[in-house]
Amino acid sequence: MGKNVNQLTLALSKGRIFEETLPTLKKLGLEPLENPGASRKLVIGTKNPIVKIMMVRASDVPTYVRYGAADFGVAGRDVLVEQGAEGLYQPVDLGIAKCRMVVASTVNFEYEDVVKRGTRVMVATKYAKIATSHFAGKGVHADIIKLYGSMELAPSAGLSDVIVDLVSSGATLRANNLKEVEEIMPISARLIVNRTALTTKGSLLRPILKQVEVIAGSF
Amino acid sequence: MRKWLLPEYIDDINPSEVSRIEKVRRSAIDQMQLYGYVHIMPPMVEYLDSLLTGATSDLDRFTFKLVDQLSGKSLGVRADMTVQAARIDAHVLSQDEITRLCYSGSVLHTVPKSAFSSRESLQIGAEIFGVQGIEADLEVQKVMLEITNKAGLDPSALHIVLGHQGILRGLIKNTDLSMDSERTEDLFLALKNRDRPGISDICKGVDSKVRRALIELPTLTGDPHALSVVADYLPDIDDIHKSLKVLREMAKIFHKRAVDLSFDFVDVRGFEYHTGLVFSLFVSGENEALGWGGRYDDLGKSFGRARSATGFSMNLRKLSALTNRGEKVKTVVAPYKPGDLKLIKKIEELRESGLVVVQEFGNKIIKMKHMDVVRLVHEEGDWVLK
Repeated sequence: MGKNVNQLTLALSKGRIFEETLPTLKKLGLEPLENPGASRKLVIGTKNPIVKIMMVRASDVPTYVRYGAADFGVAGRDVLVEQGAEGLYQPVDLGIAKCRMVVASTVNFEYEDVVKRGTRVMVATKYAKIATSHFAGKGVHADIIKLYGSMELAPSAGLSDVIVDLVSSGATLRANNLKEVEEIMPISARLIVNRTALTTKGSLLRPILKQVEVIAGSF
Repeated sequence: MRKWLLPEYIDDINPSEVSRIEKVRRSAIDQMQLYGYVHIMPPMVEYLDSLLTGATSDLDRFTFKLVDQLSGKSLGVRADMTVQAARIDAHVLSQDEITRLCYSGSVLHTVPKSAFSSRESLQIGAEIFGVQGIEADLEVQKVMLEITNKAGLDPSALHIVLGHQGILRGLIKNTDLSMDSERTEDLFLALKNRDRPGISDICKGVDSKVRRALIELPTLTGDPHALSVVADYLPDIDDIHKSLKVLREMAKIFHKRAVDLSFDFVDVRGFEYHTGLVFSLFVSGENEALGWGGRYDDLGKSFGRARSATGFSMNLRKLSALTNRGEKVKTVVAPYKPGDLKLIKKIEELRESGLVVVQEFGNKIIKMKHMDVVRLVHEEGDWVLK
């Protein structure tokens, strides 16, 4: 796919990122020819015949772009920080799919106190790297418990003291008797680009990137 | 553990690939020797201090380390051959005139350098010492392109990217960033990732012209017209003017060649010994650079003799993989008859003429996929090829 020098492949993930990227795609003339929600196809054409969209899992988008199977893509900052952005360019903050990476605990947990005392903290999270580096930066020894979902259960089930997770409105935290105790970083989606594609397919890719920058208005 | 398993990112090279690699390697060395580059064979291991001379943490991270049982000192397995060539120029040859060196060999990396890389990479390259002008840079690039040409790569699929370390150095020297190594490291990472929002954050409080330049330069990556507009983004700094002058001279000469040329003004290299003009060679459809190189005028100083230096390295295995594949070795298969003197003489004649002759032992019939097989058969009292 990405190897075809006259074709560009855009890697996107279903769900919020796709929904919120759609208006930008329309402005770029890259409107998908089919609705990926209704179609089972994983490769979809766009109104621009040289650009195809490849639907992959959100956490796989950087991998497809890094290895050159896709030339560019849209990935959340959470995925980029957790996996490392080695081999990728990330020139534009699209300002979409916004949320926050936070530390949350049960309502009664004295987080500030525990941190001050330097007590070991049990952390349940899907984002082991982000959590490790955050607590190391604070000088707190954290024991990381890797989970793949339903993190909000962990503190009340006695599995951990706190969780590190993405929060949008905070409704899920409240529904599970948790409170946000610290923000680690704001999260939004980034346009990511394969490094070599910018050189070997520059004439196709650069005009699109310029337009995206204008639409996103980051600078 | 299964005993046949190899470590991750370490692999065997199969026979047909080996013959292709060897052919390309020989042709490359011949080409470099035609320009007067002397073939050197530095050792696989050296004292770590020497191998990491002039390098930053990146080369350190990529270098395998072991303890020397004889001296008790730390040894490193080379992760790059340029530093070794600089050591040989400065200390072994120690001459004031121009030195041209070329090499081919394995380098080992603790972690793969890129997505599809083996941790053991085959490198070929050439280095020229003692020339300050761009004539040396032009020569090494010419040699590099001729090697790809001899290997059969289509010149229209090649892309050269030029950059100059003087631009970034000039910008950073004029900010308080140069005083803060942690912030500089963050800035280099953001520049490497073309993370413009990140650059903008890190450079808060930096002189507005320098900040604008650092934010805007990444947008020019891959733009063939970048050189004519880049000055608009850059502040008036002497080092930067000098760097741009070199790039313009290079571009003038390159436009006469049939290779696609673009620019990268924020080319943050892995092994940070480069000081001036830098370049990379890409091939359409390939995800990684095939070749790279540039100026490293300060490296010799660490070995006691400052010398102007420039050179290139190429990934030999990648180069051979891009060359024509289907070629098979013509091989004569002959029977084994120890008493048949006519047959023995015929086999010797064929081998002397340069043909590969393989003898079959017992009932084992030779059928090798990578060979173009011809049989030596007995017909009317004589041994003939069929």
